[in-house]
Amino acid sequence: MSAQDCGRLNKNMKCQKCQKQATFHITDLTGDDLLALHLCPECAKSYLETGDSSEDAPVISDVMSKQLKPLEQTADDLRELDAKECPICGISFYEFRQGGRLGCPHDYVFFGEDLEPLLINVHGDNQHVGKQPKRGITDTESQTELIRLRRQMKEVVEQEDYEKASQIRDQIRQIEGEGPAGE
Amino acid sequence: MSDVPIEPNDIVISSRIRLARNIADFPFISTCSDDQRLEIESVVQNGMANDEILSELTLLDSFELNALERQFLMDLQLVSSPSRETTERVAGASDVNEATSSEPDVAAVSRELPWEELASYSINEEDHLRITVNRSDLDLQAAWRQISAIDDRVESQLTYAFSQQLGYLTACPANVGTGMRVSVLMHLPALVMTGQVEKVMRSLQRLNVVARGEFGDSAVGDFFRVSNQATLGMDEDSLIEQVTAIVPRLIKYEREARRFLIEQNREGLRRDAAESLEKLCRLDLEDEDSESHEDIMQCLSKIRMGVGMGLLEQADADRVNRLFTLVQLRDQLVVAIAREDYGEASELRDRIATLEKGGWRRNSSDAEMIPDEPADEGGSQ
Repeated sequence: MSAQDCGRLNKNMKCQKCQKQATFHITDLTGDDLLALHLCPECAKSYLETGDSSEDAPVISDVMSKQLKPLEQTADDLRELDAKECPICGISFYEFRQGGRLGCPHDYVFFGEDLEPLLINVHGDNQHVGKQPKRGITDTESQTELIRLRRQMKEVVEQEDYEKASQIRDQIRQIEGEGPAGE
Repeated sequence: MSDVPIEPNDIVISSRIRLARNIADFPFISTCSDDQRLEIESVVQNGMANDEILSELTLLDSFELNALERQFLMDLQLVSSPSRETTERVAGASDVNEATSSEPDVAAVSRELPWEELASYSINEEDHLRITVNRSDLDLQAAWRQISAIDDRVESQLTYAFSQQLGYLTACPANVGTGMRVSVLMHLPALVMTGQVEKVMRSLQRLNVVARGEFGDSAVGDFFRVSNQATLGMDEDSLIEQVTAIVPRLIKYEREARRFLIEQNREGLRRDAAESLEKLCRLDLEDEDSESHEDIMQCLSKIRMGVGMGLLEQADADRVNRLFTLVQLRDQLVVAIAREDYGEASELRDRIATLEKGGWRRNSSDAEMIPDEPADEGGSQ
């Protein structure tokens, strides 16, 4: 906004920071109450431009890098953490840090401790309250096993090991048959 | 919540709740193979088809929609706009080779039936499934009842990835827990013009509410989507309360800023609004260029503010109404075509033609203008 001359209404008002005529009348909302400020154009400009220009929303990779600062004391620790790879989906912690997206539900278990500071930072909490699936708590272990088996099956099919593939297929069918979807 | 206005007004445009859900026995999208994506799509579709109410939701395949149609759908908030962040994502697994994997695969739209307001879902965006309910008012409690009912029905068909400690598990840890994003779309041009908007937004952060610019670059827009920051550790009602509690405050600040502006320069604002209306009438509304889309949003913003502040003359206000009706009819036409409801489409086409001939543009030579022809850039003012 260009510095509109507001002098017509507030001719006698002086800038609160210097003694020039106040032509900007700013309402600040830092607390629960409004803070009215009357400033000259220069002071208003510098006032409005100060303050951290942080993002409105946490960008995961940014938060991650802040979270990981304490760990950077030893670069080895960070390297070790980055190299950690989920046995189910194969995503590494490094890949997660770069992309901000996890690879499978099991990552929340596998990277559990590593994710905790991030969760606290973003949500201020690490315990879900609120809606739950009505069908009762699902058996996450068998779901995770399904993801692992399907990945394994794909691998053995690529290796043309069809005997192994058929075994895995039966295992998958068995778990699927026991699952809640079969009820 | 009694102090929160339910009706939309010149500052509050609409509200929305979105739920992120994933199916328990598939990896998240970033590590899915193409085959798995297809399988997820069919698992979700089959689940929907098994439910008499969910199966009423009409499916839109967004690949079949051209860029224009998608643009209008984005305006309606049916399909989330592809985020730069996910497009730039470094593909982890070696078999992931698409750079544009953030493109939504499928989006479903339901108008009229059987939900009273717009409900939609999309498959294989950032999460396997995202359910969205839009409302043209601020009744987020009603939106929650509606979306929770849809969610219950989906859940009876699919097994969600859920953990006792972390709730609904999502691809991005910022959505874990309730998986719920509650938001209100607000029009805050006076806060932008008086340079206060950034301070307001920062003050919101302390209240765990975030605001992002809507419709293009946040640096230039006057439209903001205010939403909850946390999704974990608070139940759904509390999250709704957190967001709705902010709304009256923002309305108050915007009104104060508008009063201030009008005292300073009433004539300038009126002229701005009138000129924006002229400009918008010359712009090609069907231009696919996103730059022109931002132009359109800027003009709409000025016009909307002028109308809200009672600055426009009656003749201009009437044109604005026709213009907004026209935009809405075009949106409906896109949906009708996608649903292959050609009876409705032909009816809508006729209504649009009538409206365009009816002189929503100022002079008759403009009224003859069809989208294929270059706009009269000299303009009449």
